[in-house]
Amino acid sequence: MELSASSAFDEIRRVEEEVRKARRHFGTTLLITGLAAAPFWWTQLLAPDWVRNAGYVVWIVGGIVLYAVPRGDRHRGQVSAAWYTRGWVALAFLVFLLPPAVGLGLKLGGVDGLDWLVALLCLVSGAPAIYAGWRFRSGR
Amino acid sequence: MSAKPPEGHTHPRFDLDDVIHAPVRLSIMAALAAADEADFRFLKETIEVSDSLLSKHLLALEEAGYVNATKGYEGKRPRTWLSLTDQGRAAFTNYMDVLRRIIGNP
Repeated sequence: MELSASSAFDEIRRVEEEVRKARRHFGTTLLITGLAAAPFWWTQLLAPDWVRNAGYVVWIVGGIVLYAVPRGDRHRGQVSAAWYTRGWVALAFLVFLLPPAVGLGLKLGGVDGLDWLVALLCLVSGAPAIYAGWRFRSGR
Repeated sequence: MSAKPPEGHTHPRFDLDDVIHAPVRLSIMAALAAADEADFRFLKETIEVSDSLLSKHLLALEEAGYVNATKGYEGKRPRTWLSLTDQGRAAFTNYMDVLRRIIGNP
């Protein structure tokens, strides 16, 4: 098939837009995860029981909606950035494991009065995901 | 575009890279130039081709040294990540320059 220069340009622009859409979607998912991480861990580690239970339900339902429900657009494949692929384990560790690990460690060790440290970790836990989401959305 | 250019040619169309200047391969290169990495499925959905056709063109680009494929797992699901090599990125940049020379700066 003969491909003219202008149709080659049109195809390049179309594909670039598809990639931009996918990156924006992925970035938004990371951003929401990061923004939700701090309040979630706060409810799980520092709040009263009823707030903890409510936070848990919201986190699970939100996770299903965000990650498991099929998207409106047709893409199921993924785009990524090299730095994200290399760093996702560290990101997942910060978002999902560090706050409960430290919280549980303090509880098991019988250490009191360090709620400020747990609160700080809750706050920090979402920061890498927020940063990654921002970079994906801005195409960096 | 695949015909041998006449001696002393001046038209920029003769400078188009034949490896890139084919419908499916052009789309693959454009997608990988815009994304750092893309998985096989993303390319398939974006370019709207069959698995076998995409594999065939990816192989041609890999053999030309333009594309790098990394196989891995996401959970238990096998996944193939594709990216441009430095040589591929340079070739695509050059291809874009030639296109601009042909049609003027769009």
